[in-house]
Amino acid sequence: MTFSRIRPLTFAIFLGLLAAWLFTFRSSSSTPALVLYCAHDAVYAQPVIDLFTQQTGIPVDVRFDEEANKSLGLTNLLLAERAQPRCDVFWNNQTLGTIRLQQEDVLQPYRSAQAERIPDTFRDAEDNWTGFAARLRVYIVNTDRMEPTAAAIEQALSGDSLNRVAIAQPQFGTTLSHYSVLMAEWGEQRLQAWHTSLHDRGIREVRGNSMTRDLVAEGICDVGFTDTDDAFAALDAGKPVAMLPVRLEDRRTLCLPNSVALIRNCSHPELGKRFIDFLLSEQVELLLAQSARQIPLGTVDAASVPEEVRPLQEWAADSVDLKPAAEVNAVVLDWLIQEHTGQ
Amino acid sequence: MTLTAALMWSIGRALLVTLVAVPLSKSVQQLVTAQRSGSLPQRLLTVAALLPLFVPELLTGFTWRLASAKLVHSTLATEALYAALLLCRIVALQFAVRLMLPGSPVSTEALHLWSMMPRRRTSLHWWKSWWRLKIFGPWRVPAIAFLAGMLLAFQDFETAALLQIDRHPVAWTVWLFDAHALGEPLSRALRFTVPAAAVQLLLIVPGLSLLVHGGRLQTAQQAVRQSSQSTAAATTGVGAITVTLTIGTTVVWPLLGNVPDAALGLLRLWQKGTLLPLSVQILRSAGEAFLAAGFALLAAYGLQSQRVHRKAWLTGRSAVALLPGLIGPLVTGLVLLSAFQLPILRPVYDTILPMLCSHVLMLLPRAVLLVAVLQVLAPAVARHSAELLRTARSPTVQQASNHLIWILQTRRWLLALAILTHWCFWDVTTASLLRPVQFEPIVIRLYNEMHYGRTESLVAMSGLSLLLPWTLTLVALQLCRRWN
Repeated sequence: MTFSRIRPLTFAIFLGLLAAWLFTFRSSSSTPALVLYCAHDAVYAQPVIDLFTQQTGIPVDVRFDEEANKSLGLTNLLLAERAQPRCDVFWNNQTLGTIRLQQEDVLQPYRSAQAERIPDTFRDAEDNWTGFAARLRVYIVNTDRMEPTAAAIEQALSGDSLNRVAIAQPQFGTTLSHYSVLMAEWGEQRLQAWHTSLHDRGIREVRGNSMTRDLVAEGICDVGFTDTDDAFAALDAGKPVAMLPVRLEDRRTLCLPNSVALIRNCSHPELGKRFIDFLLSEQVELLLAQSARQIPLGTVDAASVPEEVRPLQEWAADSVDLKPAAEVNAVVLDWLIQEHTGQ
Repeated sequence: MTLTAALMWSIGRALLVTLVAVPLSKSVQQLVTAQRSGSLPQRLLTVAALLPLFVPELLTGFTWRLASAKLVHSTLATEALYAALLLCRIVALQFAVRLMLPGSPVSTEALHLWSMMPRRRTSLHWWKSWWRLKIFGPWRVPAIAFLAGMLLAFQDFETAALLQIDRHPVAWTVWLFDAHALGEPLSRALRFTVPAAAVQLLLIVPGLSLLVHGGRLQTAQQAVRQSSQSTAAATTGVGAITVTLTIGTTVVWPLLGNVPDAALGLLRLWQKGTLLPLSVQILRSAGEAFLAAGFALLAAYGLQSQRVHRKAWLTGRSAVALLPGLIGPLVTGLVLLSAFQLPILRPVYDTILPMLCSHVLMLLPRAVLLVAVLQVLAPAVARHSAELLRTARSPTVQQASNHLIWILQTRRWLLALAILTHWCFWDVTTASLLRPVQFEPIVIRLYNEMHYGRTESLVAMSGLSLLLPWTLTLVALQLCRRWN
């Protein structure tokens, strides 16, 4: 069979030209660009990045994490690229993945002067990473269905049926962090027993915190485990919800900061350091508090913190240290793999 | 849940849904053929029946995921909703197969004559030939439609992932994704994909065999099969209900629910001045998808030529080339990600090349099927006759010849290219793994918008992403036609 009109050779030449055109989509600027991998939501992170470029004149090529890719994303990509990294700075929306990169020797220590603002609990002792602007693990409650009180939630969670309670699958995102914290606090057996009990009593397991939020916001479930950013999204949409912090038995909360780190053997370490200095500044923490309702971890002008973020600051002050959780993260994953594959 | 269990769920569901879809797609075909040939109603019905095949899974999943959430208290209801959404796409695909492929080359008279032959129930030869006549005759098109439907249902990932609650609907593709998300090494992920690839080969091999060996001409009798008036009315009635339901589920319902949001979203994009950069992003994404589709079509054409040259309908080399597409974009993408870390390939890692390679490999099995269909659609006799006409001195005859070649060949190849481009454009897994830093395909942005809960901008962007490339395609087709 032949193409009489679309001859393969002509067609191949045309495709080659198109490929050449697509290959030319590189930075046209002569200034070297900082390459940033960013797991924080683009909608909030992009204005911060634009502000950096505006203030310093340094262009930033950013690759955001893809929600479709979930935890397969940037951490795994950085591990795959570690021999010859293309990324200079990693802005993670959590710390556990960053600590994993530290354990795999992907990070390069950098002590930013701005890191002095941040409490020791939220930064690495060897300066491989620094935490900033956090969110909290919370219960989201449908206020049409139940009272948003700790006692009501406790009662709902201790009932025989949890089919009106939702949680995201523990292999993804902050639910994995939550499980790791519980593993560090309780040990493997107790965590597994708790997990089994939740499932035996019919808890609704969904594929992400945003789905948990939707189930509760729509009144399909009464209460769910999620994060402050998702709860705020439901509140912004006018849904009848409220949030309360998830607390451990000793009343400590789960505060999950963003973290920033310089990549070992990166191409533009000096640009990377300037970006890290910028990101750890009071200005950025306040910006993120105002836009994404993230909790400033460093010292900031209290009057500039939005009203709705202030109670979160009090909850975050009770936070558990996440470093022990990072140490048991691999054990949690091994167990979850066995659970998932049945092997 | 084990992989075996997830595979069983996927196979069982695909089998069930596809079996239901076969008679439904036949009734849709009869509804369409009952209209006056070439009339406006017939054209509109054809487009309506095919539309569900081109609605991106992202939009379907997004529209129905809250409905799925409301069904959370019944696993069966969640599975039924997912099966219904799959059914809509499979009916459309099977209708497309029925529309494109010629009817049976074996007439009812031939079958009757064969059945009249003496000693028919004792002779093995008789039975063998009887089955051959049936399989390559009246059963051929339904069988190909069935196999294509099974393949589509079995490969689905995004709709299942978007609807999934309490691990339902169970799908092997989602299972594999979760296993990798938990940190399963690539070697184990590759091992996991072997049974799934085997299942798909079991569908593709007989499908290709039927396509290639089944003859290219239908009998006149088959095309105008007689049936009683009441049966015909009942069948076209079922066809009309099927088209209404599939269009309602995949097009009208999402449109009704999202048009106000889309209008608001477009207005906001316009006010922010982001419409132009967004259009550029869409066109760049479409450009990459077009490129991948073009290379996949060329590669499929090469494999096809090799097949003709060697007189084998599927060579070993072809089967190996098809495998990456069959093990799914996730594992293929991960293998390529590792490969492009090798020193020799590292310089081109941060370009579109890795993504392009993965897309070409992903599209190749579908491209091979499309090339096989195109070969069946444009028999050499017809093309040769059209080519002969071009040698005529009369400009009118030459013009008629050009028109025939356009219809028989060029338009079909361009449509095949557009369909492959569409599939590639909406693939999110490959893009999320292998895209260069400076190139964000629009589909990635859409997924992120969905996560942020920005419905207005999501539906506005999705609408543009759907309309812009297809409008360009239609314009290009018109230009090609004029040039032809």
